[in-house]
Amino acid sequence: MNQIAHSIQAERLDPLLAQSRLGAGLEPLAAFAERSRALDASLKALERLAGDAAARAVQKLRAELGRFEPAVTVLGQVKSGKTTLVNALAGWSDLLPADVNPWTSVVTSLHLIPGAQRKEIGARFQMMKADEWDRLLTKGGRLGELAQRADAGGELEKIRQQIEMMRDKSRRRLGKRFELLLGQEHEYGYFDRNLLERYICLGDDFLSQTDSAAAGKQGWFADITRSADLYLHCQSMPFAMCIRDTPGVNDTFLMREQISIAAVRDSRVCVVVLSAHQALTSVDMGLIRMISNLNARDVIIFVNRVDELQNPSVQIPEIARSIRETLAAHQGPTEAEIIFGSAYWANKAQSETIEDLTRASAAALVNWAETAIPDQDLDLSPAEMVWRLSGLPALNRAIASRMVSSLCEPHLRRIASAAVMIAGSLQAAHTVRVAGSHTDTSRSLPQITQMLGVLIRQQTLALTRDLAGITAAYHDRVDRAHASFLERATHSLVTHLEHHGEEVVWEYDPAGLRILLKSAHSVYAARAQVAAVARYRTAVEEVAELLYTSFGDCVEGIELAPPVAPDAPAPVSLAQTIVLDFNDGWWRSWWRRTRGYQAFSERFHAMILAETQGFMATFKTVPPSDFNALLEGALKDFLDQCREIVAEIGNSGKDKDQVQRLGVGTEVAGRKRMIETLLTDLRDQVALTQKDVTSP
Amino acid sequence: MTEAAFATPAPDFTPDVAARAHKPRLILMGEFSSGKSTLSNILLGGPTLPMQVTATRLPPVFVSHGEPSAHAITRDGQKRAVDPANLCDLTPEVIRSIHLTMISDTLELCDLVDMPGISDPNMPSDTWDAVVRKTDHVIWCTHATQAWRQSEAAFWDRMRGATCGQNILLITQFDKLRNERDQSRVLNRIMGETEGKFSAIHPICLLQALQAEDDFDAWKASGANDLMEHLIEMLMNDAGPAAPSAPPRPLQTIAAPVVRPAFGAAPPEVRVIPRRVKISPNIRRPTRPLRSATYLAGVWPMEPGGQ
Repeated sequence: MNQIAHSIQAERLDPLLAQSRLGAGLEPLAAFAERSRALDASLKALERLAGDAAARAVQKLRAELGRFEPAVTVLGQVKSGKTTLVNALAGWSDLLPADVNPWTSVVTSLHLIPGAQRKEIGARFQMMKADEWDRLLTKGGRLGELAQRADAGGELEKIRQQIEMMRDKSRRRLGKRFELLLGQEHEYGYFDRNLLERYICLGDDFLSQTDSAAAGKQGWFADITRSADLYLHCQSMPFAMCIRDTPGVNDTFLMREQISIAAVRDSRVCVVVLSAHQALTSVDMGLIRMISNLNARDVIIFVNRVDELQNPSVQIPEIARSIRETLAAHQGPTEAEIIFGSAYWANKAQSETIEDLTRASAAALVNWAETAIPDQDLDLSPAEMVWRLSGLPALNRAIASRMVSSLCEPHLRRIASAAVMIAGSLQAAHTVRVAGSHTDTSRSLPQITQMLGVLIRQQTLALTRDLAGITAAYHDRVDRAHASFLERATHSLVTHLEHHGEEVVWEYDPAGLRILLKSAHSVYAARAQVAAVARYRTAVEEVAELLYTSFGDCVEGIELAPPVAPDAPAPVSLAQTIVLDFNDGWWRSWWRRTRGYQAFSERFHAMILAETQGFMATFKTVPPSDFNALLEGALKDFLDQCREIVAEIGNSGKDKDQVQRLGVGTEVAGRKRMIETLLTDLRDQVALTQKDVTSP
Repeated sequence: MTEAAFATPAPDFTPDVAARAHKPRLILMGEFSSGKSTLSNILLGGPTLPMQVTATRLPPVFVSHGEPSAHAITRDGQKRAVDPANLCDLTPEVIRSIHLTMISDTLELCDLVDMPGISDPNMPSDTWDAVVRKTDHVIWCTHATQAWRQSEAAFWDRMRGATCGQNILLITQFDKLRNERDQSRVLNRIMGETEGKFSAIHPICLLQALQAEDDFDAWKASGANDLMEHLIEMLMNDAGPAAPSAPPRPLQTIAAPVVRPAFGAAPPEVRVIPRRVKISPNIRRPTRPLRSATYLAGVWPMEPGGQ
């Protein structure tokens, strides 16, 4: 084993880390990129073979395929090393400024685009809108509560003050421009450190009353920037990918926590970064539970900073065991993947400066290498070895496989299925063409189109009606949950008064209400999805019937795939804090003033109603209106495609010129074969996406 | 020591009674794995308490001066002999507190309490209640690379009203901040955020201090020497337990000690000297009472604020 020590510490440093090594672990994404290209090629062929109407539909699919960008969000406590890790993931050690103090309050999205060499190609900064600060308050999470952090109930008020302070300060500094800047979006064709500092680096004294003169233009806009999007070419990326860096939770500047938590809702795949010297605190646990409430499968735990351990070979297994035990004991996602590593080492390997490792860090490296690197790999170059020990290849692999199975496969499947349907219709249209006119009905194309129009209206309306019924039932259930909560809370108060009198402050936990609401939501979501699936099937049957009665046997080959019903978005508003803590704020003074049990119970009922009403109204209306729109959207997309299919088939029979135009340079038989080949090809691609995707 | 020695339980034996000696008391607090047990081993001059990278999960450990002995108090008030070499097996679900006596220079000056780390999801959350007394001095340990997070700030805000002592914030593993500029910026931020909440802030590298043994330069470079000098002065001047109604002591100013960055290397030429930290020992009363941890369990009675 001295060999490792030797190769790392001695002069024999040949640290060049091959670019191909940086991509180690991203193979699942590379394989997906290959398939995405194959599908695009098929779509391109399909577009050439299709008539105008179908070609438009195919173009839409191609655009969707081209825009697709899976995302991963990096979360964790403040200063757990998120930014350093994000830099390492992007393969660029000094891309975002990593600092010893928290430096930003903005979620920074890195859009990595495969490219021949690394290059910053653009940046977009979105400023806060006037009402967005307030929304930060209402859409906040309950991490403090989940983590049982001291004074969790008083946090909301603290955030309110911090936001107010920050807004006032930027208003003073920016003067008249303040109002003007709100809601603006600033775009650049590049980015560099200066630009980032101007827009997202808050600096250490951002809350102090005086602006330090030395700060200059640094952080000039940083306190009103809402989001930053940075675009860059990246050599090691096989496929476009977005990495979101969050400001971090458990910061004393609580607004950062709010912003970080808000980023969870847009993220399916999350990496939670822990610090090896203090793995899995109650705050980490709260964060992991919050994410896994939304989506249990896609949490990856990265235990950073193993470089700071004294004896990683002994301590890492110990930490791993402790994390597993804690996850199991606190209903965490026990199946979550846990990866150990060091973003510090990764960046040293990337920037080819491993000789600069501190002595302690080098010692830890050698220590861990003895356990983690199998003997047959001892001939790796030092840089490769450091890269391996940094955990980045393993993390890349975990992210890539989660992304592929949770985001990429479903996306590809949807597009490939739609393409199969269009290709099928081309086949039918071709048969019509060969026959010279559409067969055994006397319906004209306008008639068919009109009939389809009626069908579309009917089906759309029917789905809206189905969903309205289910939504009403949901509302009813939510209202009942609310009513029973009020009743139980009031009852609890009265009991409390009987036992403890008025001097002892009473508190009530809204967990019961949350459970009821959560179950109401899942019942609603399941029923809405079932209803939509049933409606999709009916719509498919009716369209098939219409096609058959209109065009005859030639349409038999069309595969009308019913759309896949989307899953309900996670009910994130449920994560909002319900403040029923009577020790904080005005509740307390009210408590002190009010006398008389009877008055308590009546007034309490009214007050708690007022306190919970805003939350309840949001929870009642937002999730169903979002999800209903999704379900209806899927049906609309499908029916639009049907409309284009009908146009395609109808036109092919009617319009000799177009048939000839379509057929330019292609033998009729050859064309038919091409469509058939394409169809088989597309079907295979759909089948591939179904291989390892578990149904929702 | 045998089980028989404690065959007769002492039902009135509570932690408060146990620590009734008229000595000032140091309480070590902080998040788990922030270096509390390492610090107590430094203070006690030997490996008394288990140190590990994951949460230690010991109940509060009370250490005082005397011939070596060890016992534990169970949650139902029973006294039980324990093996000081095997403290790890004493879980806080069963054991309320551990009491050790031993011979040590530090213990001649003060008693010591090593509290379990906060933010450990596996700790029963009533662990911290009712240990800290008005006359105690708290040393709060915070890990340099992630120093002073909301979980600490909120806990300390709730806790600090319980003591009138001279509380110290210890920034541990300070050498993990890799250069002087980083060290001074972190220190500045923490001083700003904790203004008025501690009487002194000491950066320190506990592991170096522990390993320094007889190497005085290493001991000094670790920051431990400054801390010890400060502690000794503080404890020597402590007049013993003040009566609860004692008049507030006059406002004093305590200089925060010199920061010594760049551990292991030659002492730097330029010292980062923090501004002075003013503290009134007459700390205001708690704005709210300590909260029992059954917070999530529903209704939960508590004392009204301000007694």
